[in-house]
Amino acid sequence: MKRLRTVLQVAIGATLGLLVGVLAFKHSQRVLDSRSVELVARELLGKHESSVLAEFDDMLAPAGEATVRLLDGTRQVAFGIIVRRNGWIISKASELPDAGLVCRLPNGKKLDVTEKEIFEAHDLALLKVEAKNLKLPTWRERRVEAGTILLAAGSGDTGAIALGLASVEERSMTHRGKGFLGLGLEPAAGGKGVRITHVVPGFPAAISGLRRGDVLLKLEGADVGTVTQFIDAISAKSPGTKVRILRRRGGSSTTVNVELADRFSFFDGFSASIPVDETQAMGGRLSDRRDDFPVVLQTDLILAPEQCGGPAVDLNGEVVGINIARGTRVRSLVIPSPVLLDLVDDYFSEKGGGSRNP
Amino acid sequence: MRFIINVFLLSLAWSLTAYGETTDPIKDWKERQLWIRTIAKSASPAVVAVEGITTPAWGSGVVIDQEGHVLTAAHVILSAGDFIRVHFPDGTAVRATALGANLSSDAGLLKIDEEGPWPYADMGVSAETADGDWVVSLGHPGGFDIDRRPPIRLGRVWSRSKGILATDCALASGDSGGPLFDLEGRVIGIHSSIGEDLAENRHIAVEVFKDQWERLVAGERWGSLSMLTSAIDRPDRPMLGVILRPERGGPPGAVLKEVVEGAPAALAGLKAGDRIIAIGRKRIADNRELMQHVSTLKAGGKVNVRFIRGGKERTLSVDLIEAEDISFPDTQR
Repeated sequence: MKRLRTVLQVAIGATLGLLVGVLAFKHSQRVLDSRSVELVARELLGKHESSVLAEFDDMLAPAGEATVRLLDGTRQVAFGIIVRRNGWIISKASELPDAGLVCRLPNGKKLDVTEKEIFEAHDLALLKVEAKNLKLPTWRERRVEAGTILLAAGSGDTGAIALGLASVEERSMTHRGKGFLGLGLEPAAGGKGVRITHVVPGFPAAISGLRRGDVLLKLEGADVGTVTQFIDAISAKSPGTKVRILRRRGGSSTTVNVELADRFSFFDGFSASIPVDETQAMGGRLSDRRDDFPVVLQTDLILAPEQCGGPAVDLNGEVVGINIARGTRVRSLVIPSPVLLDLVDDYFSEKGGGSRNP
Repeated sequence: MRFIINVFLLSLAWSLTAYGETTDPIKDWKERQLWIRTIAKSASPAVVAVEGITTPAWGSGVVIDQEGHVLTAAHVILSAGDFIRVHFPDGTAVRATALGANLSSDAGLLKIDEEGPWPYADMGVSAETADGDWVVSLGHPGGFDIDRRPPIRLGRVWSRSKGILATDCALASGDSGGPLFDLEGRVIGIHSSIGEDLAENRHIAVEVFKDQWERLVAGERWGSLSMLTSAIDRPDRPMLGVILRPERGGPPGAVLKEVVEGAPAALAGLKAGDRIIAIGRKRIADNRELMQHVSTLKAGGKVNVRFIRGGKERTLSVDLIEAEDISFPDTQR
């Protein structure tokens, strides 16, 4: 298989027809069906084909020098970015083991991690190793617009791990502060109102006695509109708000008073168990913690969960942020550099240690 | 809300010619980045989310003229029902009427009820695209979200045949009907289906819409929706007749979500929940390996399927039949 790959590498740039010829030769023992040709085409004509990624090697070299691997035993659990020359590194907190974390520097040297500070809301961890004169990356602090080309860099001379785009400009993806009932809904038969399909136990709707099959007609005296409009109206209210809902069950209608919960309380701690639509999970493993970040840039960089924690880099070789999560089939998330640097700077100024570039 | 994408792109093209030939790959990439950012800015206002109101369903679409004709996927129209609303990225929501649909090629057409002018993108020519060309996709994965513009994604065309383009621009549920753009900002395809592999994303070539424009505008519906696009691709592809459960992590193997009634796997005795760990002598680590391995076999033969049920390993001999002989339940998005 290795030899076959080498042959194919040489053939890159040739037409598919030629490739089929090369393959058919190599596979003369076996009938080559069109499906295998398809697999070859996918690999050779894909965005992660090795000659494409190699185009970024020089550009990514400085970022690679500022990126470390984090190991649990011999297994990589994440990358990390050096933020202070004297051995401070930032990474994705939830991927790291509680003890026994080892940092492998770009030069191959392995060091024990001696301190760990967690920034829970961002799922970031600041780590300390005993080292001096480490290399720092160049940070990009300008806003990143949608359509900006991004590379996920590895450690040392690994080069690019993934190529993609800034898909959506930076935004808040937190569920905190949004009203929540704990209901599954569908449009009611006849088009008027919304019908309850699920009730989440322990949440406001259930506590107020709403049940599956109930039809909700009015919210605060006004028609509920569509399912989307109703959910938007509830989300727009603050947790703790009391709302009046006109509910029809059987032949009779009654008004129910419900005190909204915080949507975050539903998602908190359950990130890994939030039901993802099936297609969103197709095509690879996702990070356990992949939702609820105060500020993130959405990208289409394809990363394994253990490849998070490293830098996302623009075409100038500048680090736009840290790859914080593989979210869905179509989405990975990056915490922008300015947010990252503010957190780190605040931490050190409180701690009374050093400026950004000691 | 109105904008003319052609003018913008034309002036950009003018400024780009000044770059001339380059050998520095990063310089080439910066040029591509200019085009892509322009598409993100100028073409995304024409990328709509399509909402089924009577039957809740989300798809995508792209407006291709001022009057408000919206290209989408036929299966989006079928799942959305008669009462349809389209949402523009800026939050504008308007009623639309379903016109024609070619179910065989999954091409569908909507028309916005309200008078325009609406923001639109131009249609291009997918035949001008070569294998390996860079493209971008837009759409509303997961449905409309007022907090974000439709996410833009990068990929390359790796196959073009019979009115279908395949790219590695990753798509997900809700993207169906959304546009695939060439780097000049012209619509060359409409999102139709995906496979387990991240690189398996299929788009209806824009020519399918152009060639059948009169029939689509006239509201004709014809053909039948084949539920597995790979079967359209290659009807003799070998299959067991199983639907796999998407899974992350977990022990090695591929877990059956369903077995298709009357198909070989069900006839041989495989059941939902079984974890397939080997086909013949080939160990199966995950869904992708199972699909890839089965696709290299020949329809008409038998294979030994090794699987785990209730903690015990078992083996059954299963026939492989051609994809077109299996009628799948609705697995399309």
